[in-house]
Amino acid sequence: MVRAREGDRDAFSELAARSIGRLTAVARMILRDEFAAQDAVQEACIEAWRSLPGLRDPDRFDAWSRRLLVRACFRGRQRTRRVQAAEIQLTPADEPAIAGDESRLAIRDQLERGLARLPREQRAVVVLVYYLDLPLADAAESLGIPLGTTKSRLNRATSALRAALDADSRDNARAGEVLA
Amino acid sequence: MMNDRFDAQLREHLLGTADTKPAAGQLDGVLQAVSGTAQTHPVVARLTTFSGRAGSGPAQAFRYALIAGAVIVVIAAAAILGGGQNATPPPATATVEPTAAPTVAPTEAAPTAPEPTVAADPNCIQFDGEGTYTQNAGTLPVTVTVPGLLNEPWSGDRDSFALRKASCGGVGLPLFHAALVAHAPTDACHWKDSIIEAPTAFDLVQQLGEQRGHDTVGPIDTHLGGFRATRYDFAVPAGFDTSPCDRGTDGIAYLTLFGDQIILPGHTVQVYVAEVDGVTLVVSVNYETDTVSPDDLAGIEKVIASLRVDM
Repeated sequence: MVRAREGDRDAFSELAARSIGRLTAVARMILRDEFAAQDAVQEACIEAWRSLPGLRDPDRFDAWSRRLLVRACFRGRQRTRRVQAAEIQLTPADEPAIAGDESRLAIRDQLERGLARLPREQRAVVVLVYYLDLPLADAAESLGIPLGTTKSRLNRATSALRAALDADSRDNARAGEVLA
Repeated sequence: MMNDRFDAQLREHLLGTADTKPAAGQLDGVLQAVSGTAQTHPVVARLTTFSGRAGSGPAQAFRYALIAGAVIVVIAAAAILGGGQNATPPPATATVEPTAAPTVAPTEAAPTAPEPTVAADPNCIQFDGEGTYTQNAGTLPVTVTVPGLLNEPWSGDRDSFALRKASCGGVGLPLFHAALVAHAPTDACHWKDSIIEAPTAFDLVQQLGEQRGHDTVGPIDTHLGGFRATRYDFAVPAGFDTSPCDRGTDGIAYLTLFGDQIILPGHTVQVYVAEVDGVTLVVSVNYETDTVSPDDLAGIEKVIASLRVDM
């Protein structure tokens, strides 16, 4: 990190190689679009390279690069909107009825759809807290929003997720009854 | 599903479905993009820029820069072949409208052609003479007139409103930022735990007036882009030890967004707050208190006076 900060491009390449997988995973989860995620990671890496000389504490690199990535994800607004519009076309009726032994698959499926329906801002909080296991204060720093807003955003996200999953469960049960 | 295991299931799901494998060629693409980018000077990098832009991504910006760079090189070559006479200014990008003449006006006695304005950093627009700089502050397109000063280039970022008296990649103050702001810390030193919402411009003005961590002059009633505004001057004395603060020796943060607006010891920041179309526009100017020249202060006034918001 120190060498990259001093302009060593090879050192930055090593840094990028080490962190690109993790950054891409986070971007994919927040944006739910492969190309938008790659764009966001690229933007974050360019900004990281540009601004690295200003980062005095090497221990803060992860938090700092995460913040750059979240910022880049939020900039991909137009692309993400298109994806969300496509996702809205999914309805419970398009999905197979699920019961019995397939409950794990059902949970996974329901969570995926619930996450897809969340606004991107709420999904970002969920990813930072549940995937990266960040304390709320660190998630707030990554998002650049107050702690209170982070808490309320997470609360809204999990409430919406639970409600969406609950609705899916009811719809699936109903669909199962119809098929039976 | 709706039970106490929800948190664990959600975490397990995210961990289990995370795709941490980069796409084929993704790393190469990133490194190639980085190779065309210059690093920012440490002092400038520490004065982290605001964000808030809704605009194009780096790939697009990079393409624009390549096109603009190629055109500039062609024009510069033509100027050289033509004896350096009547060189024209570099062509504008979508956000730059140079209003005046060539970056360096050659004379009969000029032995060499003007230096072309080719920025190695695709995120940077360099002004070698007077021009206009337009960038979004959040959803608001903000335009200022860049002072035309021979031998003192200015440069602006493409992805957020940040304008400084320095060439691309160089270090220089004053440094202007513009952004939409909806919250601010009550304590600029210990900002992490003190950020509160500022839903209106009035709220922000109140909060900034009460903010701790720096010397404050104001509020001063003024105008910004034709809108009523409030100005504060925040200063941190030279030699002030900011190491106990949240940012350590990186200074104090009087505003935070995705990037922090910071004040270094020995620096002053003019902060203008205006309500524009129902949102709070903040324009800041950062300079070194003891070394700022009268010309720079006059230049700051001119830039602020020239600011307009295109709605």
